[in-house]
Amino acid sequence: MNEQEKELVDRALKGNSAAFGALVDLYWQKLSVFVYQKLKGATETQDIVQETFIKAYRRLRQLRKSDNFVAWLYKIAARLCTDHLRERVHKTVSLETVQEKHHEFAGETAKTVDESVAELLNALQKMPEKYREVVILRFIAEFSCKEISHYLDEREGTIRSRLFRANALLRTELKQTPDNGSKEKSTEKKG
Amino acid sequence: MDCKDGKELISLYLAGDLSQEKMAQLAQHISVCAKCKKEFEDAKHFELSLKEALLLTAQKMRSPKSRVLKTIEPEAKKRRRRAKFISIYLFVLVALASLCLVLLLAYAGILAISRARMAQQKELASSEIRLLTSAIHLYQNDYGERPLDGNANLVLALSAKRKDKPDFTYYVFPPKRLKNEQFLDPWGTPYIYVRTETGFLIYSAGPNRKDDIRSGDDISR
Repeated sequence: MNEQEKELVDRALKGNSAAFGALVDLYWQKLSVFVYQKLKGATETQDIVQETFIKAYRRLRQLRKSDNFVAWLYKIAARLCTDHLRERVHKTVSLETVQEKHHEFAGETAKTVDESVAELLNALQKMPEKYREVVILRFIAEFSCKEISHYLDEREGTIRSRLFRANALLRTELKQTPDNGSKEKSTEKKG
Repeated sequence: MDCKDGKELISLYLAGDLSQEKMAQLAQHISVCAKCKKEFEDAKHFELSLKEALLLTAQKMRSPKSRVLKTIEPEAKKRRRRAKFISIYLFVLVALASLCLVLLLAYAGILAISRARMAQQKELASSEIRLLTSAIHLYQNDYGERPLDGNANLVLALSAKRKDKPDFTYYVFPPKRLKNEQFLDPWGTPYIYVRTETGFLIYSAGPNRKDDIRSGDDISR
């Protein structure tokens, strides 16, 4: 934890809600991106992010001063996402419904933001989870390669090669976007 | 450096692990290799555009702050109460510890003072007994006999004028230490004076004010 986080956590532990509010302000946006990508654009993102912070507050005492607060927060969020996805399967929601929801959201994005941005996001969401995860942790959570390797329990070399491969995959995907047929082929290859 | 090394450096760049020295090596390579230059620019573009695009998705969302704070408020209240209790508890604990320390120091001080006073009183009694013994001997030289038994008789005898120096008495008794015409020791008990066949005994009952017949805390010399 850096000094600012340590102070805010200390104050939050003493019941200062504003201090915890400052921590929410600092990380909610990046955490939302992380959760959004994990759930593949599910509309429940905001609920999961909210739940992550609530859970973090309740477990704040377990956090040691030497721990990385952000990594700890992302771990809570990742676990909640996994539980949520498992629950979704239990509820026997068909894959089509999930995909429909995802497309709804993606479509919404496309209408409001620049078209190239929407394409990029769609391409990212088609990427296998292991590549997408390192991209989010590296560029949004701003973890170092060492921190990602610690977080995912993988070697640093593996993380570097995944980032490089993600870059290549995304470029290939974007090049093929206008041609739907070739896009499908590339997705098959990745799978 | 070849293109394989160039790719390795680009992957280090993406991982945020490219040192300045290696960055210079990469810059040198891409200045002569168009393929790697393209690769590097794409990587830079990849990072920036992804970051921008991903953060745009978050902009559509609302901050969970108010809902989070509302949910955690009851627990925060409990934590505030606990923190307040702990600070009061610590304050009381420190105050009690300080009080104990002050009392302990006061007790130690009183003990030291009373010990010093006791030593002083014992020394005074001992010196008075020595002076009284000398005075009795002087009296005996002048009158050929020892004063009669008992403290009052001793006081009466030693208050008489000396034969060799009529302006002086055998002993000067401090008026504050005389009660019922008896000379009191530093603890307020009359000195015990008894004649024996061969001489006399004079002693103080000591701090316990009880005649232990020259044993225990009685002071003879």
